[in-house]
Amino acid sequence: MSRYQKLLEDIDLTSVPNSIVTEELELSIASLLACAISKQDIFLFDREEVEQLSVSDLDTESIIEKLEESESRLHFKTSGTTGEPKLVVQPLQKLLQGVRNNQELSTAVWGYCYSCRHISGILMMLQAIVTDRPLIDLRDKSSDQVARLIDQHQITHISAPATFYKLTFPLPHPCSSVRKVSNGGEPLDATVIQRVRSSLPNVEFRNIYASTEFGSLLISTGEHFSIPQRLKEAVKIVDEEILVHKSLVSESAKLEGSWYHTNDLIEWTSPTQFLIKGRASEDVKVLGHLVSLRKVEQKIGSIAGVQQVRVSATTHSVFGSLLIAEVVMEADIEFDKKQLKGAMKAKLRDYEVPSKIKEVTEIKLTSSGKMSRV
Amino acid sequence: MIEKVRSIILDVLELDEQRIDIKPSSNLRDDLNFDSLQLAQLTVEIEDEFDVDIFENGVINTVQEILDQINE
Repeated sequence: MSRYQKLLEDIDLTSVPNSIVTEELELSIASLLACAISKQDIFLFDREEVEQLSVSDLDTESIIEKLEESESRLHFKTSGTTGEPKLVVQPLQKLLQGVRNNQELSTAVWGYCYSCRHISGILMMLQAIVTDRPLIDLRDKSSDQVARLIDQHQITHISAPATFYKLTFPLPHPCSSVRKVSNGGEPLDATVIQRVRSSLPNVEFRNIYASTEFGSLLISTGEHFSIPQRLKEAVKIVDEEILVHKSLVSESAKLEGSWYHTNDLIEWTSPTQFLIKGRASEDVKVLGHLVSLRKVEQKIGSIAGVQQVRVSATTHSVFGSLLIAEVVMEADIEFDKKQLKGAMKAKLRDYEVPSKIKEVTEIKLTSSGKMSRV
Repeated sequence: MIEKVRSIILDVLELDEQRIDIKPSSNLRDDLNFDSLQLAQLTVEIEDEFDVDIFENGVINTVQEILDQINE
């Protein structure tokens, strides 16, 4: 019996939504499976009922068969390069193409570190389901707890966003069971990579440059990247910006001619190698989420009592970009930080709410009359 | 200073003093249930108040480690 069949048996399926809106890992896996098997679409942001289904005789082979036959589609949101949320619909069958099933993974124990509402999290769940291997929840845990869980479950593989590594490592003691580690989205710098290696002495580390638009594109064992021969015609650097050919990007990506502008800037360290530095636009990444400063300003500016607002980003060594809001209140309106923050939370996604909010008497402008963001 | 740090923690977590026990040994994640966003906000608030980046020398796990960073 597959461990995931047991999960479906243990959970009351009439209460399982066909949407993954919680961060409860087991419920999310049950939801994903239940929808796929009953041919319901899976939403990462909405809530509907699903049919009760029979799960008898569901071994791993049957589960894989049902997943591969499934006509379910995954609906999710990505902010792309503009900060505007875009709806993407992908057939489950296409997502399964990214799942690996080989001898090496037949003994894997996975550390789960992504949001259940993120496409990377769904891919991790599918990886675990198809290979019938355990997923151990490592999210929002202290370094001590993560080390304990790694030892307790003998975790062998961890795939996580950059923030997980920055906030968790070094561990209190080396953990020898982990043999493969990869990060998704933002590449890690040498300091963090060294902390990971020192805590996981047997690890093979993969630093990955990826995005929702094109998946995993470049892989390195350190902080320096290069474009492999097989991608020379499809990935290029122009004015220190990474461009990706339309053949590699999703249909929803906005192109300029045949190329997709990633807005990710690089710094050459040799004729063929480079570091990935940051973004070219006024968009910033806050804890892995792309944020448009202009859009956040617009939303805060629509709050009653706010006359003018400027949102800027400060860079932190661990957290990356953090948002700061300077607010000019309307005359006779008192600045109440708590109340203002509450109003922002009602209009913004949690990672868009500025970490720092301060009242100012005026917003500084540049010589051309635009708001300075420095 | 500890009272100010405690006050900032309560502010970030949006909790009343009666609802949570904050001690120097309290672990930010395990005992106080900070998530990543809240840790980021805590960092900003403490830097604003004390002009210290508590994560400058590595990951901070407990309230005492925050106090140690401020005192350094």
